[in-house]
Amino acid sequence: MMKNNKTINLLKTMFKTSYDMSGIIDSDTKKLNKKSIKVWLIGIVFIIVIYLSYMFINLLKETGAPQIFLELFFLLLQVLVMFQTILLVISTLYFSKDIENYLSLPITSRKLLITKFSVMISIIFGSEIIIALPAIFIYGVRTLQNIFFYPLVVIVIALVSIFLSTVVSIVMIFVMKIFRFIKNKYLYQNVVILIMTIIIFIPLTNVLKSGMNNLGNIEITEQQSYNEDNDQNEIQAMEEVSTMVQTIRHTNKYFIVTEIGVNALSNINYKSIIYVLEILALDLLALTVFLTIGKFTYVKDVLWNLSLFNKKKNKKVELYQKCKSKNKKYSYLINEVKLIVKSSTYFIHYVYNILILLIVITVIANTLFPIIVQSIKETMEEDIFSMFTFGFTEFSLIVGIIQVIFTLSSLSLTAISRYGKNAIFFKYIPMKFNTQFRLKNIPQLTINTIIISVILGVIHHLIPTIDNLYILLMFIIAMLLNIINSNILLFIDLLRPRLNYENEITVIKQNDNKLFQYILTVVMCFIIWYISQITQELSLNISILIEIIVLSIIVIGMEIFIHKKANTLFKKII
Amino acid sequence: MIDLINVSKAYRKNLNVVENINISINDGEIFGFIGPNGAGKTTTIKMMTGILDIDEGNILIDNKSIKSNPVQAKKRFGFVPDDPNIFLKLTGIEYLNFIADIYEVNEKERIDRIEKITKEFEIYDALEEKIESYSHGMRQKIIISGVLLHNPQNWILDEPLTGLDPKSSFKLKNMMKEHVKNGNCVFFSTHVLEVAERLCDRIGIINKGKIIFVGTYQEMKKRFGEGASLEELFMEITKNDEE
Repeated sequence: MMKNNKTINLLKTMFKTSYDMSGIIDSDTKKLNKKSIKVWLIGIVFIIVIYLSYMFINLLKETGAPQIFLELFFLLLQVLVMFQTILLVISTLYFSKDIENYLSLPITSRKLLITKFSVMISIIFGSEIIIALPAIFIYGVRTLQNIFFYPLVVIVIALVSIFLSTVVSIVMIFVMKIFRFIKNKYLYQNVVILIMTIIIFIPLTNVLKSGMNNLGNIEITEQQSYNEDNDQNEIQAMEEVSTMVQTIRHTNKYFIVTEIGVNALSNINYKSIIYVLEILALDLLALTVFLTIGKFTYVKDVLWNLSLFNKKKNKKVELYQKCKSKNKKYSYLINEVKLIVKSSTYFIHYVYNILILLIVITVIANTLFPIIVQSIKETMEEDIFSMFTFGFTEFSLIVGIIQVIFTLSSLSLTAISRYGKNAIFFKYIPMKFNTQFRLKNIPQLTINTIIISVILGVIHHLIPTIDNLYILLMFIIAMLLNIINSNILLFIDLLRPRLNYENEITVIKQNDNKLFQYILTVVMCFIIWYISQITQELSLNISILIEIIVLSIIVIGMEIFIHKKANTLFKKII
Repeated sequence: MIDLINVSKAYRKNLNVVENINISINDGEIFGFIGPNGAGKTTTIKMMTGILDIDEGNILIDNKSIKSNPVQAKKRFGFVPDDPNIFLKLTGIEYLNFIADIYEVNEKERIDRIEKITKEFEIYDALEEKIESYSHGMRQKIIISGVLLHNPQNWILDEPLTGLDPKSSFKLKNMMKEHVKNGNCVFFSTHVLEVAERLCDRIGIINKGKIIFVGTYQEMKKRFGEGASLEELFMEITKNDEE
């Protein structure tokens, strides 16, 4: 009994230190704080997920295959859980700030691992409540599932997540051991994350690819139920849907529990309970393996990491090599970049996520897209590109997509806040504020430029019929958007700096300024859409010219403002 | 030389945290700035260094206004903030090299000075390590080394001795004396009255945002009572002011 109390108390303490509910829960009333931006942010994400799910399910219902949602849902869920586990194993299990505090306590390795793992799982559950549950509940409502579907879906999602998370954690234990030869803590973390991402994404891509390649072998049974009078388009639509279902099923088969999960929810009957018990058994098996390995290795590995971090180099400094003089602006910029690269937290959240997304887009574009195009060509006996017309709407759509991807990176949004209380440094050094403003924006501008280049490169590769001139014009417009975005994000950070952060992760997780970035994206997309509407009657070139002029005026206005008011902008850093 | 001319600051309307301060710190003197918590010391220092705007009055660093000519004024002082947790991800040498670039110290000078200063503070062997692995005292030393590196005419130090071991504290005090001997000036805030008593050429006492005394320790004794220590005089002055 005492032992259990000890674990529960440990768990309680860890939960309290791992979660910061400040702002979300009103400390006086202990109720949801409706004035908190975080609450609104969660609410907005919740509504967006519900809306998109609703629209998607409706679309699938029209094509007669709402089942595809369930298959796709689990495919995306497993990718989300696995990727989240990689990050959490690093940040919560092995490199969390509080780990040193627990090591000095009389707690067994196993107990520490159980409690840390529980915190990790709870974080995964937290994101599932916001993202996964609303989507699947909407599916339940729209497909008229019976009442047992809802509790069952919660159980299945939880069990599937535990299994995937445990398996990824086991693999992580070994991957982290293998890469121990990297003596730099931050490089070590980044390499491990990169390797694990490759381990997950490459097989996933290959599985999808092989699924697509097997298209020819798939029998489209649904097609047989159609009589000859059916419209040719409907048959084609059915073929595409069927192909997609088969591909996703093919992929899901590789994730043992996912297939069982889908089966459990496809038809709610007594068999569902058996499926649930099957997943439960697999969970227990995975957890047993994980805890057995962890019992012997976890604390040892944590101690090794700590010693790596605290290890004294005893390296004689080579002053002649290390003290090379640089231009002060260049040095300032290098320092900004160093802070991002040397901190795994900032690197993962601001750079790594973008790079992974771009790699995934490029891989999909190179592997899956040509197969899809080929299959459509074979089915429709017509080249898809011959049907494609490129107008200002398509032009604006591509620019809009780039603007949406900008939202994933918030380097400028924390350009000041990242330094916490020490941001005052930028106030007392002898460098003009407008120069500092521009230098601080360069990392964001660079990341966004990479996004623009890759997206346009992919589009140029996928749709070769688009003239190079328009690719160049899209680049110009996207760069103008890039400047506007980066400037506004830095304005926000300067006007609402969050300088009282205790550690790096809170700079990202508790930054309610992020809401403004979402609003910015909506506004920019609205501007792009509005320009495309008012220039409908005009030629493509004139429309593009108008857009360039409008955005250039905004950029010039901003530059004048920064030049004149930079001192005022930096006022809040005290 | 640092001149504070009729300097006032209010965070809220009609509630001055610093009121009409007039102090002139001459070249060749160490000026100790003391006062109870919340008296306005940090606000004053923040205005001197350009971190906070001045509502009224002006501050001149070697006759360059921090208000109208901030970049030139900032080049003329080195500042040690009270919180030494700065640029923790950089190694000691990276930090010092960065500071040398920002203050445009040439390569030869920076190498000589980094070696001399860091050996003096006994942090030379730790220069290849990240600042986040340093103890509080070592972090304080690396920040002070950064100031000494660009060798400004004026030093503005906010609680510089906090966290330093006795040896380093002694060395820093000697460096301050050496600096003023060369015709420069040092402005520093402290809570340690004994240090102010022994080290400073002049002392300024601030309470509730107002300067209630500026002068030498001898002048203070003459005015408020012979034979008393600075601590006793400080208690007496701030008590009188409260009454």
